[in-house]
Amino acid sequence: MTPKTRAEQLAEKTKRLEARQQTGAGHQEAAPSHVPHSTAAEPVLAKPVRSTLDLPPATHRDLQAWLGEAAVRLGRARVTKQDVLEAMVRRLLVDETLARLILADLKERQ
Amino acid sequence: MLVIAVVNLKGGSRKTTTTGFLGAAFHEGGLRVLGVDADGENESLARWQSGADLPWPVIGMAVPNLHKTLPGVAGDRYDVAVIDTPPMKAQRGTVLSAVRLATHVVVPMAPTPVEYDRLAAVKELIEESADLRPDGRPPVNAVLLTGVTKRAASTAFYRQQAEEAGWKVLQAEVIHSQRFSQAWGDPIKNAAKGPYGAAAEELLDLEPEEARA
Repeated sequence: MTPKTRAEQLAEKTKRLEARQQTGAGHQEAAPSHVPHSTAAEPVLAKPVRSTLDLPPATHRDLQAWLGEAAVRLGRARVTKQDVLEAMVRRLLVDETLARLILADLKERQ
Repeated sequence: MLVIAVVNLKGGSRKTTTTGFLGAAFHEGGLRVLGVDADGENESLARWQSGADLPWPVIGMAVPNLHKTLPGVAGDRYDVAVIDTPPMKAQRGTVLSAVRLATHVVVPMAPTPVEYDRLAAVKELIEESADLRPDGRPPVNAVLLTGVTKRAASTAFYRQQAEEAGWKVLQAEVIHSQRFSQAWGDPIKNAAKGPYGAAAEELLDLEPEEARA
């Protein structure tokens, strides 16, 4: 019998590991779609109101990149759009300077 | 799909050469290989693919959520993905994302003081990734000595240093030669027979960290 080449051995080992991966024995699956990130207590009586947001693809891409960098800078696993939008809205409602800037942006787009 | 991330936070540490030869070695075994260029600044792997018309695809994916994006893009069409990661400190998020997804991490390192100096930061990043992974443990990882000068005492010295710092150092060593230093941009031949093939084989034989002891 011809001895296996290293390329063939590599292929065999890869297939074996892939099989193990699929049965979940000893290898990682893809990262979960979410990671717990908030320890804040959920309000008992006030159910959060869901808001959806449509962004142009380029803006969405830039936001994703920003979130990744923000996570690194904060030493956190991730920073979500939820985190950012919630913080932004909170600040908007108390920061008059920011409110003026946002109003100016809105006026410019009219 | 096995995901092999080639990682070193330092630039010029032969990450792209290592990624190219590892991809070629798996391809020679008949496996479906996907190259991933996560280094958006240099795009060296992507340009190598197009310049040399490598027989396996390379996609550019320099994003800090690579761990989410790549599985969706690759689907079940590939057996192995090899990721060339960026060196820049500012892109640590992208490197971390690649390590978070990886089943295996290869850290190419020349046996020199400046390269050894950055190894601790790589270890820190790999350990950090464990908290972000579903199984809570780091990917299989090992140092691959590259740019090795034959019979130089530095090789054994830095191998020992790395091992004492808790690294698995592969027995395969990539000797400094024109074949590798001038490889970029040319087709890759007989990768599996060379040191990168040996390194890949060793890497696949390693057990996940918790099971090693």
